[in-house]
Amino acid sequence: MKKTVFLLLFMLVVSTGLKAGDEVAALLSIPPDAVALSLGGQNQAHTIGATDIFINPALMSRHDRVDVQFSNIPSLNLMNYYSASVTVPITMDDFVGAGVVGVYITDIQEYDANGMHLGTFSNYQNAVFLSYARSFFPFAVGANLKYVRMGYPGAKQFENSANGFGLDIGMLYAFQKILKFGFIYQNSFDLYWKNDYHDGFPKRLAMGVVVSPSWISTDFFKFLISLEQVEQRPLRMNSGIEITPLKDKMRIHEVKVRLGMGDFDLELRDAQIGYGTLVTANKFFSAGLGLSYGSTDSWGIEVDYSYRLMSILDNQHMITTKFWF
Amino acid sequence: MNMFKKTILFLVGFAVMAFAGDYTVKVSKHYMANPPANTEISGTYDLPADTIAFTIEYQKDGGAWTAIDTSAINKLNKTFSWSVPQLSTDGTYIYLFRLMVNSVARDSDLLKIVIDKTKPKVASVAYQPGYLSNAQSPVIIKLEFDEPVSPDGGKIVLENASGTDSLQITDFQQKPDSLTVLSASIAASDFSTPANWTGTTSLTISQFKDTLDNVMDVDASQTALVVDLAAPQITSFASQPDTMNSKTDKVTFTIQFDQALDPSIAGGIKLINKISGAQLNFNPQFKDQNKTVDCILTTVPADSFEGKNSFLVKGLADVHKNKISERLYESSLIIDTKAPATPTITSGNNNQITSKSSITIAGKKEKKATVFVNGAKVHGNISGTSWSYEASIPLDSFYVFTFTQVDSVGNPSDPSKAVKFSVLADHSAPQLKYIPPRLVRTWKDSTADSLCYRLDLYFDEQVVYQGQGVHLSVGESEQINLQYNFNSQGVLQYAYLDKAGDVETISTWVEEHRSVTVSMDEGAFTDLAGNPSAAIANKEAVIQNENYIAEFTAQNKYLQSGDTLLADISFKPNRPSGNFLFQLSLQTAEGKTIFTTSNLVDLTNGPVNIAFDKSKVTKKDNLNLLWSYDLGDLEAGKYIATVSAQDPVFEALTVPVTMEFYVLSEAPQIVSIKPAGTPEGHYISKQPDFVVEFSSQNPEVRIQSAKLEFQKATDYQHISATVISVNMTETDNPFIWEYNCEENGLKLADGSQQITLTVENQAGMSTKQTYVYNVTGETVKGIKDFFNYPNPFNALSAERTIITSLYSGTSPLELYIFDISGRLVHYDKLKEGAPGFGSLRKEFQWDGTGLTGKIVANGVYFARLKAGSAKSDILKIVVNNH
Repeated sequence: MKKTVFLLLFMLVVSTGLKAGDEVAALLSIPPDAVALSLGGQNQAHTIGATDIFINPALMSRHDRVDVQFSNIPSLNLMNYYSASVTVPITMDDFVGAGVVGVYITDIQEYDANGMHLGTFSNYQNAVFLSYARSFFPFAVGANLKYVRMGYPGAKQFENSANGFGLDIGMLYAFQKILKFGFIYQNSFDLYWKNDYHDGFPKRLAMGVVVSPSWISTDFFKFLISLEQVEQRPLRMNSGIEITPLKDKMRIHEVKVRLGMGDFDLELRDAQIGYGTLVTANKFFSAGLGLSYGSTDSWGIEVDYSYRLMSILDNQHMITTKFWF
Repeated sequence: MNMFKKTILFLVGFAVMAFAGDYTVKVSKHYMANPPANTEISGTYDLPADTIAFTIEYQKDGGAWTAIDTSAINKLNKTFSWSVPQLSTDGTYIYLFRLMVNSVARDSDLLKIVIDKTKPKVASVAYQPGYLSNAQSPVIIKLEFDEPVSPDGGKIVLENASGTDSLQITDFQQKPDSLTVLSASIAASDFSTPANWTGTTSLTISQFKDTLDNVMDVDASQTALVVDLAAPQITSFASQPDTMNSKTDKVTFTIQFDQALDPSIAGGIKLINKISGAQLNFNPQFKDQNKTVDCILTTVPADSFEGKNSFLVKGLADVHKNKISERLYESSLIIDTKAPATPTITSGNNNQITSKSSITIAGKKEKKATVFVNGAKVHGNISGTSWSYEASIPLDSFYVFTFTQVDSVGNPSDPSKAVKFSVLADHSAPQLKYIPPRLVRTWKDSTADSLCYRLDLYFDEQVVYQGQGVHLSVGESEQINLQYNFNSQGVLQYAYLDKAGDVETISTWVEEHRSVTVSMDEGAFTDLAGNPSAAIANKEAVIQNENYIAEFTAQNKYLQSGDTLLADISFKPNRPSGNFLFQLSLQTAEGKTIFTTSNLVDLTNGPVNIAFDKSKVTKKDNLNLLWSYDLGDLEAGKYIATVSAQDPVFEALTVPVTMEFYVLSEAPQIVSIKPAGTPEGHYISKQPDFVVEFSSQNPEVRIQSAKLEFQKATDYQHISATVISVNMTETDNPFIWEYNCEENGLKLADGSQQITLTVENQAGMSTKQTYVYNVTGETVKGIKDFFNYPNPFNALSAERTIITSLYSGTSPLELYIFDISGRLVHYDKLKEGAPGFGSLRKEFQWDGTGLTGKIVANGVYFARLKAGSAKSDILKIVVNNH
């Protein structure tokens, strides 16, 4: 245990010293799961299955089974986003996981400086995660090592691709079922392109709280809120509620209804834009429905659907399928 | 007697009393405080027999019991009296009166005497919180005394640091369980003139009494209350520099306060442009013990900050949390990043040639701007919007003066649009140079009788003949003063010497002496700057014979690899008869000889076909030949063919005749077409203006023709194509062709239109490209034809992408650009009245910077236009920094 704690502390110290960047790694900011999306975005204290490794690796420590998930945003005319992951408990206190998130954007029109149409090309962005978590109940810690790759196949006038490595440190504290607190720290990392140019991605700290008031019933209602601080960016808030109106009836394990509001900027920071415009453009509302069949302790399948309402961009659907055994 | 014995004795006495009957003793007072000396205490006792004795013991502050002398007790009729001894030491004295019967204590009573003649003292003073300010009010003053005191009657007097104002506190609270502690509250509102009170006050505590009314001494030694009711004030502010232009990399805005601020208190300073309403948050940097704040601007903010700017100070507070009043301050910072126009030149002849050593150039400039010439400041006559410059041109040279200006805040005008003034300074006399004078035997027409001579004089510059002063001679005795007009061809001056006498004389000289000299008087020629030529005496002329070849031209000047070059060679009719030494050669444009051959040709009686190495010469008639040369796999490029012929009788050299031709391997390329065309179809008006740019493999090979075919894109409509074909041979490099439908009366039908563009170069190689457009009228429904170019673009190298669309509505057009997670990275707005809003095609430019002004990371970004309820499609913009 001491070695684990020392290793995590060492990684945290090293990662905080790394160079700060300029922009957010957008691929990693997309809610990776329909549950997360329908609850307003990522919450670092809410356990939702194998997707947890993308949100906070420490959340794995609350799994008691093998979890598998696959998620997809089928915005075919814009981009195709997917995430897939698996988590496995290897001892009572040790957990490992692996996952991949990616986006594939096709039909990008290529024009030269004269407005001459040259054809179309594509863009892919992938990130592979290797995760580990350890439980020190009621605490848990976790870490991700992630590898990010980008490229542009099919372009006529240029060719470019990039690679980079990043590190995440996560923590979870669960005070019974009433209150859970989690946070994740993501170090700044560089994405190196072929031509010696590199993009720097800034540090990110996100904290989430899940409250299940005992006077309502911890299984019936959950309130989630999380804050995200990316270096030099406005502080952001996500929040959502989850209601379980049906549980263990008619061979259905659970039916869950979810509502959320996400990417709500709480300040303007250094952005040279009106606050109202910023909030209007960024925030979204979401709603979702989850249906699971099976049991907690043997095997089961869960399908979650989320609908994201955007004020400027097009609304999105997201579907996640999960298995556990 | 020790305590144990006394206790045993007491218990025994008590037992005796309990069993022997009522023996009592009572003192009249049980408590006395600070009794005067000799105060008498009386008491009663009751017992069966008057055989009594009293013992009196006392203890001080719970200490050991001490017996005192009881002889002074007066007893009478079961009463007694006793004088309290003089007690000088503070303390609590317990006196125990015992009634003794037969040495056994039968009863006892107690008298408690408290002696306290010590004045109370303040043990400590504490403040909660530790200071009084507008933000920390009220303050609880906690006084702790060394003994219980009364809350009534005491007072605290606060006096300000200068002693000009004071405040008295008389209302104190005391908790029953803590009688040594008093508390009082003081609030900022208690001070009638808060301005007098900033600083450390003096504190005087007085008139507090203890429980025995001992009044304390005045105490002015306690820690005083720090009062700070003054909000920080700005004492000065300045920006360094006080102007920001497009090249300023840093502006430090320094604000000084009259007192130290607390950096940990959240607050901020905003740069505000009152005209546009734009705001920019600073990250204040504290220094000078937090009395000075630096706000640093390292990037030029958006256009909305142009002009004079104010700053808003909000939320900052001093160490006592007194917040500064929120206020807008007028700053001296002027942001001006607009480049001034290029200065203009109003006087001075551009491109002149002069023999002067200086000239004056004058023009107009922006008010207060500084004019620079070739990067150096102009120090001439500068006033208001006028400037003049005395340009020194001492050397023979071509001088170019490039004028730019820098406005009053340091913005330079666009160097690519700098106004240029050129002058050729020529102080030197023209000279015959490089090529010696040449006397060429030639013919004026096709008859042999038209023999004449041509005198060629090559100067080192262009000159003008002044009418006389050129002579020909042989030796020193024979001379011809030439009375001819000289013609100019560059630096060549030539005259046909065709007067019969002169021709005869010169022919005699040539035949007899093979030598002719040229003399020239001073000033016979002047250069373009007016410098006269120097005198020249007896310069030997080169005697040449005119070339007999009249023309050497290619029938197919533009060829492809594998073609056969066909060139016509025609001779002048006056050519001599007989054999000619005929030479042909081929060189690349770089001068590398790739083919050369020579042969004797008898134009009159020789064979029709003569083999010339790898080529062939065919005699068409007595004066015209055809040269055929198979190019084979000759590389693409420009080639020069040369032909020359030598008269075997007149042994002078002939002038070779050259001809250019081109070998091409690639068809012309269509570089761009505007309006932009894609297979998906862009929107164009009914009468668009097509501008097409082509490229050619060899820039000297022109595009021969271009053809536009307009046709409805759907075949079933069976509409014949409208074909526009234009001869392009007069188009110069770069090859740009414009076809304006409106000017040519062509109006396209609504709907999808297929346009085929065909271009052909002079070698007959052609390229065909088909575009599909959507023809629309003056309005479109919603937002159409949304695309950007270039895509991708390199923001790091200052490249911008133009985001264009068609929109005919009146609602403001808003551009949103997001990263793929939906995070806004750029926003722009085009409102009615803005430049370009009146056009059907709207354009935005994005330089690839995010909301904080930094260049965004490489990747795909989603852009959408919004105008009222209308939304465009989503555009995928790619940033590719490198």
